[in-house]
Amino acid sequence: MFKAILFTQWRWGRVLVATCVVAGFAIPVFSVRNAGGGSWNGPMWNALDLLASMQSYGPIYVLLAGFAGIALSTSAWAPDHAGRHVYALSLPLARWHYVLLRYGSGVVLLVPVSLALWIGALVASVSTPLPTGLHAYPGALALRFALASVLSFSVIFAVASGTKRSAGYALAVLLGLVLADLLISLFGGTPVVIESTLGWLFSSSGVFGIFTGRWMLIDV
Amino acid sequence: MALRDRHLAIAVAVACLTIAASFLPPADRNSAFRWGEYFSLERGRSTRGYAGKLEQLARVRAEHLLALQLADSVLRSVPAGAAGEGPLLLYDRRIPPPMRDAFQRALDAQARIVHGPSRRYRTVTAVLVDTITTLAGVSRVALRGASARYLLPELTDGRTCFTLVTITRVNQRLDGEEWRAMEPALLGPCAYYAAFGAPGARVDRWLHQRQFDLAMSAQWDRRAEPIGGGPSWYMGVPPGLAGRLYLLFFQPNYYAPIYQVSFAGFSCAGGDLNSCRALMMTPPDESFQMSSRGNLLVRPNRWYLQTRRRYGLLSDLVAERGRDKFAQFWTSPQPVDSAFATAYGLPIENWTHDWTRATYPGLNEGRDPLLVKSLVGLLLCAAAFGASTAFAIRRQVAY
Amino acid sequence: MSDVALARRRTRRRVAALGLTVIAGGCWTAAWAQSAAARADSLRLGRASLQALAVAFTAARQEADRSDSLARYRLPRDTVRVGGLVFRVMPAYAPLARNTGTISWEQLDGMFGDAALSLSSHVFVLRDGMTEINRSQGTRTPTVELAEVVDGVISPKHRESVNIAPADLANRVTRLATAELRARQDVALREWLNPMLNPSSPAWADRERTYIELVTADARVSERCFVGDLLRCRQALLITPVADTLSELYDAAGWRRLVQQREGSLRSGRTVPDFDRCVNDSDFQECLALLRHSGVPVAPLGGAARHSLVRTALAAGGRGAYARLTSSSGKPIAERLALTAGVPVDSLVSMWRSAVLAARPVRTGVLPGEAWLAVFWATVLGLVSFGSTRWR
Repeated sequence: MFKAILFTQWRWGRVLVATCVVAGFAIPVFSVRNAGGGSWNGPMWNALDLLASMQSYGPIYVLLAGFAGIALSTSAWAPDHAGRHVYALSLPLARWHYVLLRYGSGVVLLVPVSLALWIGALVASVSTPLPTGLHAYPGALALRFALASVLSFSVIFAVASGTKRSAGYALAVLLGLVLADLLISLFGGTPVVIESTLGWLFSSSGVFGIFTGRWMLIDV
Repeated sequence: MALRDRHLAIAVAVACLTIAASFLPPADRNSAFRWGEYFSLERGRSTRGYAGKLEQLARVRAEHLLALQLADSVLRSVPAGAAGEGPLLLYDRRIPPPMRDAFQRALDAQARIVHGPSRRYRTVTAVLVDTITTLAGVSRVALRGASARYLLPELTDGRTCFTLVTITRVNQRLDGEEWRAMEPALLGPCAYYAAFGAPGARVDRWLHQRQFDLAMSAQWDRRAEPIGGGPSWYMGVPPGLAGRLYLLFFQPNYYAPIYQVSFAGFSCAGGDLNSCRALMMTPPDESFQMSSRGNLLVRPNRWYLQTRRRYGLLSDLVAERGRDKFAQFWTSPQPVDSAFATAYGLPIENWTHDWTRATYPGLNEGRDPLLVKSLVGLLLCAAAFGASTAFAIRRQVAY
Repeated sequence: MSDVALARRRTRRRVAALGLTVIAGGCWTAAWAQSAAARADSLRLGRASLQALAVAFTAARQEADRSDSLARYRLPRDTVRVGGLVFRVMPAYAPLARNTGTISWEQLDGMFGDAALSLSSHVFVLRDGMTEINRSQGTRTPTVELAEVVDGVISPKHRESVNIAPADLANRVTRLATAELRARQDVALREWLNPMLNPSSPAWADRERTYIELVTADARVSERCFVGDLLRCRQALLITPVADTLSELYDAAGWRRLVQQREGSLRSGRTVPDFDRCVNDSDFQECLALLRHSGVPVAPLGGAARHSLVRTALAAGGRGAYARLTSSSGKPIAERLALTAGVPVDSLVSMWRSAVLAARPVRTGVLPGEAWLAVFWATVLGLVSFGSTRWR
């Protein structure tokens, strides 16, 4: 059964997966394109420039992880929504079993993307002569990427699996936050609800904490 | 079907190999660097870029020459006066009386602030109407409102500090923020010469290297208001909650104080005293500074003055710690940091830290830029996929 | 008449009296100088007497300033003592002063040992700093001042004009105290240590920054230090004299980068062609000449490196270490550090280097907690979707 679901999901999302695989491989390779030669401390490019360049690629990894997770989770549910869930109803499966199969297939489809990023990072770091004292972290980067993409997949998967009513609840929570801030500012306070909620979500102990670490292929 | 999957796999593999082949091994930028090309005018190797740069240089030089010519002709007509007398104001005869009065009031107000026992330099301020539209063969960038240029005493007779204020229209409104910003412009750095005399040799070198950027205003009767922690209208962002939401979702980098402060300023506010020191001791790198040259200083425009609060830094120092100590610092023969430490009894970096914290409250509460970028990215992704899903749901599925 | 007016009047009188004395001294000197034979001697004596008068004048003016400021200086009544720190506070701030004092004293005692006790000759004054925000919101935030106690007379020294968040207060107090201790250091030590030591920042932070500096610095010497060349470490830390910093610690590319980084100061007026020749045409000799001519100070490593070295020495030398460091003025810095730490300087530098290498800031790896948290949330969200209904 899992094979059948995985196959259908692969059919629906294979172009997305292929695009993400190419992007995942390309980003780390591209990020080291100026870092060769080994003549560190040269007039144009030194260790500090390398670190700055690595840092500037951080948001691109984040974007790819978010994009891959969100795209695959949406593609996992879009045909079900479009077919008014007749396919799911026609299967001799409990709902939770069906959802588990869809979830598992989605996560399996994310594996090649993380794998491609890991290979790209490995190739890039092996071909770059590092200045003394700096290190490459291909494994940590790929692991962070894998976790981040699975997390963004899970969030959208959870929202998309629900009914319109549950999506409405999620929206209501968001609106509630905006309203709370609005009320606070009406009474002369400093509106902090949205900021602090987002701050918590992205803090190191929050739901999306994995997104806000250091996304560096090369670091001290 | 299987054939198409294979095609996809082959396409992915080919794409990855192409990328690897094009970018690996990484280029050695140090050896690939071609000397003499990188920074010179020919860098872009396009004639248009080259001509543009030359034109810009020519324009700046022509503006300098014009300022010097105007100053020369004005100063020749100024009666010789004693160094101790009050500020002198001269007008273009095209300027109508109400505007003259307004300028006189503004100058008097500035003179009241500056007044002091040691007037070793006299100040002359001339207000001229500048209607020249073409200079050095090129048309001038339209100058709106008033602009001010200062000729330090070395450029005049050695004891006169000269301010050249030019306005483009004589029917300007005499209220509003633009006008209020004129008051400190009427004396600018000359106020410091009038009140404290010539700076000590090393302080003078330091000021020149920075093009007097820290001494553009003399309003030492009060400390300038801190720049608010939140966004403000002049940055094009509405105040209040609407502004906060706007910034949160659309332009997080426009969060006003963060937008204005350099990285060194950030780390200084965060408590890194080395950065505070660097802020003070190394000249800032800003393109407008090329318009000032040597002893001829050009006052930056209003936007710069508002957003780069450092132009009033020395004024804040006088306001906060008094004139006597400042005079001691200003005229000290020691290097700047020692002069500051001797006069104020604390290292310059410590005071800079306090100043940064007081001027940009809330600066060190800046959010991690990566977080904001990630958030905006995720939101954009979500929006794109929401839209595409909504579109897909409408279609019938035929699998 | 108010105290302030009285004090001013007193000052004016003193200044007038001194002025008369100076004039009288001048006449006396002139009378003395009548004899041609005695002219040289009399001039010398006259100069000496004028100098003595100038010294007296300065002292009198300082005394007048002090009495002037004392007339206006009132202290809050409550006294709080923590370790060697003495606070005079408004009653509302007493608990805050105790907390602040505890944190601050721990930092000061940890770094300066017994020398920190000398701070008991000073008082820290906490009082309300009222700003517009405070007034409009009815809140209060303290300002902190440092005052010196000499023979029971209290005179203000530093006044922090900005209001301080209570959380920042301990750092301010520590900084004021450190600045006071720094003022007693000799010039050589102070200049070498510049900027001021910061007991509030943890030692590992200095070491982390030093690690980053060692691996990213422009000077070749720092790389040699990183791989274990102790002589190079000493040179990078500026404790072993180098005949010529630029040629011994940097290579040609380094000169060019140094010049390039200082564009603001080195590319102005007459130096523009020199700068361009150095940066654009890579005329390295021109770079060197420009750096030499400008006299800009160059240090391969920043303050954090020297601070971490001093902290290593202080930690090794025990509670009396800081006192040994300050009392050995006149000796070379390397020798003073060896005295401070109680070990030879090479051992000290070696200890420092090991500590710095051990402080490599590894922040890029994924922490187990971080990973498990992501897995946890992914699972939770998955479980949430399992509970969804198939009925629409």
